[in-house]
Amino acid sequence: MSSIETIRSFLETHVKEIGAVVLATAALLFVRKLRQAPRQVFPRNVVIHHQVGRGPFAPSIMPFAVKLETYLRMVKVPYKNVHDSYQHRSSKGKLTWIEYNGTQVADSEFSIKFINQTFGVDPDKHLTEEQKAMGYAMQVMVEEHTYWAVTLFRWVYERAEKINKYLGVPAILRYFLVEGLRKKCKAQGLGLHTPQEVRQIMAADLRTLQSFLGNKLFLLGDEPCKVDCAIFGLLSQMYWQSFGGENETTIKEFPGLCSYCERMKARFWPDWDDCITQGGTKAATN
Amino acid sequence: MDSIRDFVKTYSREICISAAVGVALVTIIKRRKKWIKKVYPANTVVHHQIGRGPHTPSITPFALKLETYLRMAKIPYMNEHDSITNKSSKGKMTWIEYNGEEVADSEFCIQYVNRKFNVDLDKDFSEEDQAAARAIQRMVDEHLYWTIGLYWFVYDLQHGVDIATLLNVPWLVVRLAGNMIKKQSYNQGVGRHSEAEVQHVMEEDLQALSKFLGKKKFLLGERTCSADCAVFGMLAQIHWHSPDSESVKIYKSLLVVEYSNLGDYCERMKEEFWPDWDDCITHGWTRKATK
Repeated sequence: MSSIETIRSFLETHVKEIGAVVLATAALLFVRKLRQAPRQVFPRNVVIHHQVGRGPFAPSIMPFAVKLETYLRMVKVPYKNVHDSYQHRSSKGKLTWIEYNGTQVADSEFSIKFINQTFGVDPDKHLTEEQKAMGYAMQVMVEEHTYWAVTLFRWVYERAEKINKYLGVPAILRYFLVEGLRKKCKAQGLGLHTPQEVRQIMAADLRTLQSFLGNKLFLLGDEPCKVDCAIFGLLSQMYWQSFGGENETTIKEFPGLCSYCERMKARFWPDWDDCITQGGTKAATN
Repeated sequence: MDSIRDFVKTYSREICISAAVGVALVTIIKRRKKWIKKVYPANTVVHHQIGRGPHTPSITPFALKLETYLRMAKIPYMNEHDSITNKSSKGKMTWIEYNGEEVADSEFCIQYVNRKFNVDLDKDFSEEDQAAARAIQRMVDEHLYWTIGLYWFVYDLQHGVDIATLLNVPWLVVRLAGNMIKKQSYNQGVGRHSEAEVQHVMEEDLQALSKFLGKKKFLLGERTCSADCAVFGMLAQIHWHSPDSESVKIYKSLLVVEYSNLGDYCERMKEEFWPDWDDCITHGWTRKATK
């Protein structure tokens, strides 16, 4: 019998079963759509910063959310946090995104550009072209390279055990999360190395940052700029939210970076204690 | 369905034997390269690559980076163009072998070579300069790289550029590479953006490179540093690639507008470390590279 005839006869003999599967799928999709919370109406002329929620010891467990919120504070733009991005991801599937008067912007960097254009702000205008180029390269290193090493330790090698005390993800889901991230890190490239090699790479990046920072208060001088938000976003995770893991051990080898973190916190987060859950012991009030 | 079931039942023994033979063959072929280990000269770095490129000594930026470094550091080396079938332990196509020891990943190779030959090309630069150069290397290898990969294997295809002929690989390989790059870059992040956004990312990286280089001869001044190899390895891919590629059109338009120092930089690096350039390319696949 040819394959087309085989398929046709299969369809003819199993009409009821196929119909049931199609109906069930349609019903599931319909229910899923219903269950999505109705779109909230947000105040106008306020940047809505969608996040996953406050972290146990830093304002977020997502480095890009800390980056973006620090930036919003740096440029003093009116904003409001909405901790709903598990249910409402951005168009690119990212968990950190903004919305402003109905326009949605995904990706922390594109969000920052949008904010600059919309509000006519630029904290970097006093920098020379070479300084801006240098800051850009440092930011790319931290977000596109060091980030993966930190992710490997936090989520893959340590199997998210330390952080899960504060997330409460069930074991089976945690397994899939860990394996999914392992695959991502392999696809990116850093995941192909051994943990010792990744640690070496991570330390090399931190050494680069510390050497470049030198005696300066912030990365490009005595006044902070956009790239400081990006660096702080990632370093805050290593410094405050690694729960004794390898990320924390590594950053503590670089005292210059530790004091940098404290400086950024003091400058932009005087209400830090209200923006964390103190290890899950209370709700964040800010 | 029934006919397949009947076939399997009737020929079950033959199917099992074919499967076993297939598995054995694949295992033997894979192990073969380990049994028939080639003997290389001692104290010579063997640089495994995929083969010479049409307009640059390699179409993979990391091989060009590594070979430029070996020349810069004056390390005795030889090329072995076999890494399509003879990949490293990490599955990478650029790796080295030295007195029987294998090292994968261009950055680890450079560090290994530095240790073995007691070389440090960056020691006379200040710590701050070295840090700056390292950040530039990370930007180029971990960010700009993805934008170029996306253009070559995804967007160029969509624009009707004949990448298969340009790179002298079968059409199917380009398609498979494209799927792999799409998946990898999606996981990495850059691949989630639209083409226009990826173009913007590429332009920003090139702008940062140009502004950082400024009027200097090389990244950190009059002398080269190890990061120059990474930047050259990557820029060469668009400086000398086919003008049909969208990535090249973007690059060349930037050179005209403002960033001509990048073009001059590429020519300078080529002159300094590749006087035999013409022997190391296939001139658009019209002849074999002699070196």
